[in-house]
Amino acid sequence: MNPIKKIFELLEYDFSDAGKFAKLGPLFDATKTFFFLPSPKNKMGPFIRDHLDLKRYMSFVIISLLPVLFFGMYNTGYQSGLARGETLEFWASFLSGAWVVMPIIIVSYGVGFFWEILFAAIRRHPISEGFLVTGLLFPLTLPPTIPLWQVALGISFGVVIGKEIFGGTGRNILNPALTARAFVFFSYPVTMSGNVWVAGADAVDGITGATALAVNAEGGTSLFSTLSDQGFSLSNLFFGFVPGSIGETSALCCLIGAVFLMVTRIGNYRIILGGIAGLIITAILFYFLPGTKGTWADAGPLYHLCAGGFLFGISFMATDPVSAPGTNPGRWIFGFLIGFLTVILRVANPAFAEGVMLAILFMNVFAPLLDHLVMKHRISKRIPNV
Amino acid sequence: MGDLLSLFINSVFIGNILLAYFLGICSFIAVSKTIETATGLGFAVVFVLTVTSPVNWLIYHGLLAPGALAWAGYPGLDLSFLKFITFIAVIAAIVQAVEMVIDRYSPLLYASLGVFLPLIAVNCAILGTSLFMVERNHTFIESVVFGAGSGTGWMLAIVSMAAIRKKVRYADVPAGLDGFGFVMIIAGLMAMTFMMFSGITL
Amino acid sequence: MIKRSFFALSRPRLTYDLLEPDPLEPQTIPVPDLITLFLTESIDSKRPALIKKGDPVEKGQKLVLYEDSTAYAVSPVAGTIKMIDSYSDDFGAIATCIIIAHDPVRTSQAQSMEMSEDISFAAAHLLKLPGAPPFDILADENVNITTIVITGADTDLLTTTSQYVTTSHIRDLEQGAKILKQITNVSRICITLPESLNGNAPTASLQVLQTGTVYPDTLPAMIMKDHLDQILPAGKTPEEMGVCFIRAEAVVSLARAFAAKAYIFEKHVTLVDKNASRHRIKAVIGTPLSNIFSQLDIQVNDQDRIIIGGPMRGYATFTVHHPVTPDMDTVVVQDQRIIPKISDTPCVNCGKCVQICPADIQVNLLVRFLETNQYEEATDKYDLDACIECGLCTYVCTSQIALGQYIRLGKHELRKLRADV
Repeated sequence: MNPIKKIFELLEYDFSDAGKFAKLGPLFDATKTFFFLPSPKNKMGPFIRDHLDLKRYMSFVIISLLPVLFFGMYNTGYQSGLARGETLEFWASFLSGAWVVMPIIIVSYGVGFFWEILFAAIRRHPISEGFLVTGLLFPLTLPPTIPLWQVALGISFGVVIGKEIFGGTGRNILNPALTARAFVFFSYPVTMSGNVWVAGADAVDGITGATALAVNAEGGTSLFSTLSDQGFSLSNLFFGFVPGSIGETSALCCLIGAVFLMVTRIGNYRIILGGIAGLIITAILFYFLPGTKGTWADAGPLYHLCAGGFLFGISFMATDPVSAPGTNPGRWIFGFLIGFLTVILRVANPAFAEGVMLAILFMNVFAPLLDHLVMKHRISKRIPNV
Repeated sequence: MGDLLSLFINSVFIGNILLAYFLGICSFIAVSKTIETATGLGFAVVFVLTVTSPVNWLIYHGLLAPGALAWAGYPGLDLSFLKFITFIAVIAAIVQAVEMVIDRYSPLLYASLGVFLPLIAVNCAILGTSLFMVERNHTFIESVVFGAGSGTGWMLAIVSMAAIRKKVRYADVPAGLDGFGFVMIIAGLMAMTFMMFSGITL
Repeated sequence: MIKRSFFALSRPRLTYDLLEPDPLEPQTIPVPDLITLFLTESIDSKRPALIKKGDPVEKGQKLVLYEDSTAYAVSPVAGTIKMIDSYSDDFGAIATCIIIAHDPVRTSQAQSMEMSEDISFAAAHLLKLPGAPPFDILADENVNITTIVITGADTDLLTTTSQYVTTSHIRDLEQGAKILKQITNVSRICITLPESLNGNAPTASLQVLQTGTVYPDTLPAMIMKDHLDQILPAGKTPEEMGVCFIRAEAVVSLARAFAAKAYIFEKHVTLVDKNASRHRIKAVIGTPLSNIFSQLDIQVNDQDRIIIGGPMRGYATFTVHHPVTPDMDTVVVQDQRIIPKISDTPCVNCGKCVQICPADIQVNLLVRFLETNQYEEATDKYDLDACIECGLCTYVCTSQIALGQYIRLGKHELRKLRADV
């Protein structure tokens, strides 16, 4: 017999309802299903199932995040090198970046899993695969200079208040990763926004710099020239060689992930395309508004698309199916309004340079209402069943 | 015109009477169980606010404000300490009048609003709006727009809360938290998302 | 059982199994010693029963529990009644099973029967022909049937019973359709056939409806939509809309019963074993499945599942002693290793079910109401009634929720609720 299977069978009794570790039963189940298929059967038909289950669904999201993650590690090292005044080799950048990024991810996963397991054990529900995504998404939205205790605090809030008190993945109303980020953002604004490359963690220190969205041209010069003076040319923004949160800088990597999600139908293309359309249309409207020279209102759709975390948010955060609307027209409106609100906040709100996170959360709140309105419209068109 | 529009947007989103100032929480939590009743109460609040805010403006600036009684020969008189009780009385009177008018001309709407109409009289969002209106020195036209905007913001919040509560019927809330405690947490999360507007100046 | 590539690039296409060009002859299962028959009526000990344990029965004898019962069974053998007992049906409905000990000597004497081309005769005697012709519905005066559709194409995956019967008994089918026309006075009789069988179609008097090969093209609601230009309204049955569906095998047995002037008892069944290979068998109605399994050397172990009907629309049985019934086209034996797991994961709103639903239902929203037992709201606002029970949403569900089961339960509870009012 398979030796691992033997171990599990030996331990099974202790973790069952009658055993001494009954509270840890869900942990046992999760570990066991990691190695073997679970044994309970469903009694009623249909008796066959597609191969796509929640575990694979979530692993597809993880796969789509890999380009962003690896580029984020590289860019972190590269930017901290620049900040110290040296240009690092590829591998050197990557390794020094990973040295900063990995602790953040480990803390996020570690603390998050602690809460997951605690709730699963007390409330007797299985540990959901959904956390694998949340625990990775959250660190990617953070600046690499963030203190680790804030990471722990944020993920705790996101998992407990954002998800677990609702009963776990599938029942929450807001995206847990974004809830966590918003919590940290409003509680510790200094470490979260504005100047991200201030002295902090050991490997990342050096001069103070601002993210692209905090730049405003002074004295009549155009925004574009001011931006490229500070290293934020359009190509840099597109490929991502700029300071910013770990995962958000590279528009290209986000687009690769978005295309992967759309092709595999994990992420709903309506949300992504609707969001991009909303952003472009709003940016064009502001572009033609007079008297905005030198500010982000004047930036035009391309800069709005590539700068900041919009593509990251719309591809990986807004497409979280749990907190997005469940109807197709609702998804179009949801995406469009995220794009719209993102530009509005970038242009009109001097308090926060980047608005996509809050725009998505705000639309999460209205997603159930959108569904309700869409269903009401559908029913008004339905032939009465009399 | 542009000022009025920005005042309206300001009172709907940025200074949302419910999620930024936490006024009117009691009926927000009690009446958000179904979307239909939430919408009904929302419309009633919009209407009552749009009416009471300018009426209170007229009373305040015509009678209560320092120096308002100059036309009657009392230029030094300051009755503004009476504004709380006056405003409450005006609100209660107007709600009663509105109730009677609706009862007379649209019994259907009256029946569907039912108990919520008299409830509005004690809704702190209504009084709060009138007090804000005084505090911020709005003009008469502004007080109409401000009242309508605050009402719309309140309605937006309660309708979206009702939709969320419909969605979280599917949720599995810990036993001790079930009920109003859970709704308060949702309200807190909603308020957090509305914080995205804080800092915008129009 | 049905494999698909690793990448879920597009929505799954489940295709019907088509009849092989050179179909096997069915293997005949010998008549067993014990025969089990089902009656859809519960035992009422207070009333005097017409049949009891120990009674002798003749081959072709109609078995009725009480004086005024409408439900009946027809004994396929001569012998004695060994047991009459209750069993619980779907959703806990109580029904009766009758076990008859077979007497081979007396069975061989065939009993002839006077046939009459009359609908009330058919409803009173021919309901239990192999293929279960729905004469009770056709005889119902409140239902006005204008079209009869013979299902020559199978309605579930993995099975080929209907296709086989259609192609191998064309003469009988044509004859049966004529008798059916005589009995019911319905002028329009159609037959569904997969495209590949078109050459073998009985063209004489039947209109052929060519069905597609992708599930659920041959389900009644889809046939009505694609071929009869009638969209089945939510909450209605095809019969209420004037369309009656009847198995090809029922029509064939009708013709053969009239020709032989005797009852017919042999039912064709497609049996899919654990290796997914198909067996075609012919067994007397009432034969326990265990007899068939031992005849074909199929091992059924403790945790394996026996599915009656197809993998999408069938139901699982608890026992290998379940008998062959007139409406059983397919038996699938599923190995315990490939039985999908049950899950208590909540819906994650991924939307796969909405993409694939042929009735265009917002299943992801619907299931939230079903899981919290809000059946009325589910019907009023989320189209519970419109479901055609194809099972595709359950097949694709990411959270592996038993959606189909929730929907069936919801409809059942709602019927109970409405019946109470």
